Amino acid sequence: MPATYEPIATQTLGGTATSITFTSIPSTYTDLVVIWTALGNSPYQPGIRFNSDSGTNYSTIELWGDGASAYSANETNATYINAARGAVLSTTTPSLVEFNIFSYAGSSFKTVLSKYAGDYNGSGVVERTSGSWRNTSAITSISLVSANGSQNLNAGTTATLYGIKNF
Amino acid sequence: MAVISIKNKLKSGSLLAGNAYYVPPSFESIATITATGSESTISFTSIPSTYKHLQIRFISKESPSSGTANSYSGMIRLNADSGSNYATHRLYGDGSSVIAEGASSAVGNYWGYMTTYGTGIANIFAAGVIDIHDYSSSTKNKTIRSFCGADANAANTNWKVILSSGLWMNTAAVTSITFNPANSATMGAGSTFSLYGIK
Repeated sequence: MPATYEPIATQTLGGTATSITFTSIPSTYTDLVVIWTALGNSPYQPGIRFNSDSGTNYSTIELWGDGASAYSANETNATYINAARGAVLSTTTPSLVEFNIFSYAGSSFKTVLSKYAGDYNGSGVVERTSGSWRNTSAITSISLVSANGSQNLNAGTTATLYGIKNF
Repeated sequence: MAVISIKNKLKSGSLLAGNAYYVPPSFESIATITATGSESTISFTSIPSTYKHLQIRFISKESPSSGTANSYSGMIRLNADSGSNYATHRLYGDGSSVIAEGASSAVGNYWGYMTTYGTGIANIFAAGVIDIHDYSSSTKNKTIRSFCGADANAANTNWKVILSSGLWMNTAAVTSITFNPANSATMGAGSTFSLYGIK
C-alpha cells in the first residue's frame, strides 16, 4: 500500500527569521498539512501565504476563545490567511499551529482550515479559522509568515510539511 | 521480491543491501468519491473493520440552484440509520458572532458545510475533516468530530468556521457512512469525499 500521509520536508530555525518557506512542492498529493511549532516575538500572528503571493488575495473567518470570552471576526482582502487573530506568539512557550490545505493542486480557489493552540499560564487562546486564497493555480510553495512582517520567529521553531494522498 | 532478514526480522523491498525496511502505512486511503453534480447523497459502504479509526477529508459545494445558500446543516448518518438515534452539537463563528447549537434525538449529526454557486464564488469549495474514533467497536456508541468551513472574502455573515460533535446511539460497528445535504440540495460537481483508515 503506497504511503498516504507522509512528510515532505522539515525546517528548524537555528536563529531568528521572519518566515519559513517550503518550495518545489510536488503536485502528487491531494491535501497538504503543515505542523508548525512556533516561538516568536510579539506581536507575531502566524499566517500563511502561497506561491510568493503577497497581494491582497486572502481572507479568513476566525473563531477563538481566550479563557474568558469567545470571539469571531473576519479579514477580507488580506495578504495572508491568519491562524491566530486572537493571539501572538511567545518567545519561550511554543504555540502549536496546524494548516490543512485542501486540493492544493486543483483548479479552484484554495480553502485552508487552521488550528491554533497557545497557552501561557494566564493568557493565550485556542482558535480555529477557515481561509481562502483566491487563486486557481496549484500551490508550489508555502510561506509561514506573520501578519506583522517585521516580527521574528525564534530559534527552535520547527515546521513540517506533510502530503496526504487519496486513491 | 521482498526479503525478510532472518537475523533482524527486517523486511527489505529487494535483495539490495542497505535498503530501508518496509514500514506499513498506518494512515491509508480506503475510498474516494467525487460528485458529478447530481448526487443527493454521498455514501461509503462496505467499510472494512480492520482499522482503529476513520477520517474523512472533504471539499463540498452545492449544485447550482439547489438547496439553501451555503448550507451548513447537512446530516451524516451511519449504517443508513435515519432514525432519531443521534445527538449533535456545533460551535461556529460567522465573522461577527459566536453561535452554539445542539440537538438531541436527531436524525443525524452535523457534518459540514457546502458553499453555493454565485457571482464570484463559483470557485470556492467548503472543506473539512471528520473523525470517527473506534468505529469498529461493537460495545461503544460512536462519537463523530467535524471541523469545517469556507470563506469568500465577504464582510458579511454568510461564511463560517464550524466545530461539530455528534453521537450515534448504537454500538454496532460502522460499515457505511452517508452524507446528506440539507434542504434537498445536491452535491456540486467536483465535491470530493476521501475516506481514510487509521491503524
